[in-house]
Amino acid sequence: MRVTESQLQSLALRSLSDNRVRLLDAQEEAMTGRRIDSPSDDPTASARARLLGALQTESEGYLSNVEYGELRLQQAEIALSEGTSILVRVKELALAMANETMNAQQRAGTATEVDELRRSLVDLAGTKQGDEFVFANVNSTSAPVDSNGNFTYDVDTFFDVRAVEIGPSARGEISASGAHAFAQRAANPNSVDVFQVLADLSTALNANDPAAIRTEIDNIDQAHNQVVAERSKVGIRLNRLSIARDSAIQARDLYVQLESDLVDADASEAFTKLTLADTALQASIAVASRLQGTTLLNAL
Amino acid sequence: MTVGLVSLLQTGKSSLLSHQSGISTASQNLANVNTEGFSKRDAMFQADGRYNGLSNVEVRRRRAMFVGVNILAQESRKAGAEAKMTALASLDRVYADGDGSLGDRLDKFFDTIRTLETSPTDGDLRTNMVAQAQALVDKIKATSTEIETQRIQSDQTLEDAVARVNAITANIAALNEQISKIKGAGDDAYEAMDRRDNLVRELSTFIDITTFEGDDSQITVLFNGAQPLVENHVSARLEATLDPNYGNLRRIDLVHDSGVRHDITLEMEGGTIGGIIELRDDTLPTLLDQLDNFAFDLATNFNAAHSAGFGLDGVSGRDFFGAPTGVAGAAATLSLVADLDNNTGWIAASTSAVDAVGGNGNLAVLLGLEDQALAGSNTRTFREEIANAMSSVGRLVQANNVVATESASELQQLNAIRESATGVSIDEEMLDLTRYQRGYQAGAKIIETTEMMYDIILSL
Repeated sequence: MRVTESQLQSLALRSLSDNRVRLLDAQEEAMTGRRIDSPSDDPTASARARLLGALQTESEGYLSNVEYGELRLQQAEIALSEGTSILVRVKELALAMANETMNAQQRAGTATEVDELRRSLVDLAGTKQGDEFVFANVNSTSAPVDSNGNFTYDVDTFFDVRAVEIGPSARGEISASGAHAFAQRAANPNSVDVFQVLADLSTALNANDPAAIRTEIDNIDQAHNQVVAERSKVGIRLNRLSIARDSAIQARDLYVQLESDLVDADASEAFTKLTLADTALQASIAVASRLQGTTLLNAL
Repeated sequence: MTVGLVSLLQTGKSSLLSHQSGISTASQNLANVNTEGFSKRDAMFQADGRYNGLSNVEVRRRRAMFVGVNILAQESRKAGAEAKMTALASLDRVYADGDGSLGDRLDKFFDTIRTLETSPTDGDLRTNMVAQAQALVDKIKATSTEIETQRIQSDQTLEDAVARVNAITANIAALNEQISKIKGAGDDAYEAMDRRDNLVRELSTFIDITTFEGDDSQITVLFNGAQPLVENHVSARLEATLDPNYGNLRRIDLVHDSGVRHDITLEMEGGTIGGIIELRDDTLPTLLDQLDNFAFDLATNFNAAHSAGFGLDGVSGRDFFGAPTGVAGAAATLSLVADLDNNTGWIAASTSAVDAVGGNGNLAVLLGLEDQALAGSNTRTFREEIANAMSSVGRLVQANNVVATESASELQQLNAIRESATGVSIDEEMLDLTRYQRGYQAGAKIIETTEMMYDIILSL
């Protein structure tokens, strides 16, 4: 085969430009720390990275929903726990006043305290988180109970609590049911209207009627049970959110890891590539510079 | 046999002249060592019976015919791939993942729905959802615009390409004529042939051509194997005309010398023009169609679920996205329902009028769309569709780069083979030069000796 000048020339040119391209790629990878910048760098991997990115965003979304739900449930938990204490106190008062030795004046005085406690309970039912009522059912912008202790909505229809997405096709409840905690519902024949019980007790106290007071004691027990039952449900919901939080965090970290495996350059590999590309370019420069020197011209 | 002194002088003279011609050929070769497309000339010496000397030296131009055909094909391939490169690289960037990418916008949009579930009455969250929806709409429109812009821009370059093709074919025809004249006068037309070869090679970077050399060294250039672009001294022209049948982009006609025209737009395969037409009529429309389908599916499915729900005011049946009129152009015309940003209460969060305020049942339904296979003819989820579009753009770019590098290295090899056959080697020419110089000296010696012989005879 004949070797001509322009062959040598174009060989040198091509090896130089190829090595320049390789060096540029290696530099870019080492500087950005990313193996994939655009889909063409690796079509399959970049599509997979995209899906992993979507799953990350989704997990972050679950996490923020869980955090919001936890705040709200903690508010409900505090309110229900105070409600329990109130009902315990009411029961103590009722037991004491059911005693035949108490006189009308003492009972009337206790009635004032019971009224006060009832108002506190009404306030608790109106607990808000931000602008929303924790115990409200659907319409969280209006109070579930008015200042007289009457429910503002139909407790037999609206008793579910708000659920939000907290995991892949998993929904978790993030508020407490005022209907279950405080109301008398047709579906549960034993349930009592907690505010009504306290109002009845107050009436009985004012009427100085020990028999009527004794009847209310059972109702107070039931009211106490109702509030405690909802509180334990809140506990269960919090528990569920906490599990959802753990799995969302795990999922997110896993997706971050997987995406990074696909997209990010391995530092040591990137620098090895860079060194190799640099060496190759230096070699072709050295060769190219020697090419020009050797012809018969120099000898003749 | 007796030889006269005069004849000896003739032998010496023919040697001098022939070697002078050899030196001239070697010098010409050396002078053109860096000339693109120059084919090495060989000085062919032949013994001359009459004076036992050398006849006139024949100078031949080296050829590598077979390689030439493959070179033209690879030039076409390479130019076709390079013509698509800019547009594809820009789409590669547009579809790249990252903050604000199509996929990111889609994720964030659905994420705002997920957040709105916690407080469906919260005005800020509602505004946020509308804002993210607007950002998604803007991104889809921008992507569609980018594809369309690349189509129009690449189409505009056809004008220049066609003008250059016409200049080249006219030149080739003129050179054909020149060559036949020069040859008719008995001279060699190697210069013109080199020039013509270069032009043919350049022409193949624009369109897919085949050539053959007929009698009288006339080159015929055929487009698509059958339609003559250059035949003897006559060249056909290409014309680019805006045509509604091609979406108001350019139609390419082949106009024969006789005035007969012929639409060859769809016959274009290789070269810059073929590459651009493929990009414009095939590659980009496919991407645009995918995006249009995505926008259409997103808007219609989302609207269907949205209009089944109830806004804060208890009203149902409202769209969220402006209802697309059809798949074609769905991406470019995608919008949100007018005035939605001022009426975020329209977002249908609940499933019934009773729980219109505070209900979040319909948000769950809308959120469910994220995981349903509603895009790509109900084969992929929306996010999978975007990932799919990304990988197809990536593959397009990759495949095109492969063609470009492959044809470049193929060309490199073919050039090497061609160069090896027809190129100039300084070493070789230096040796020839020395050889001819020696021959010239020898020729001079013959004359000197003959002169001496004359002197001897004359002094008798």
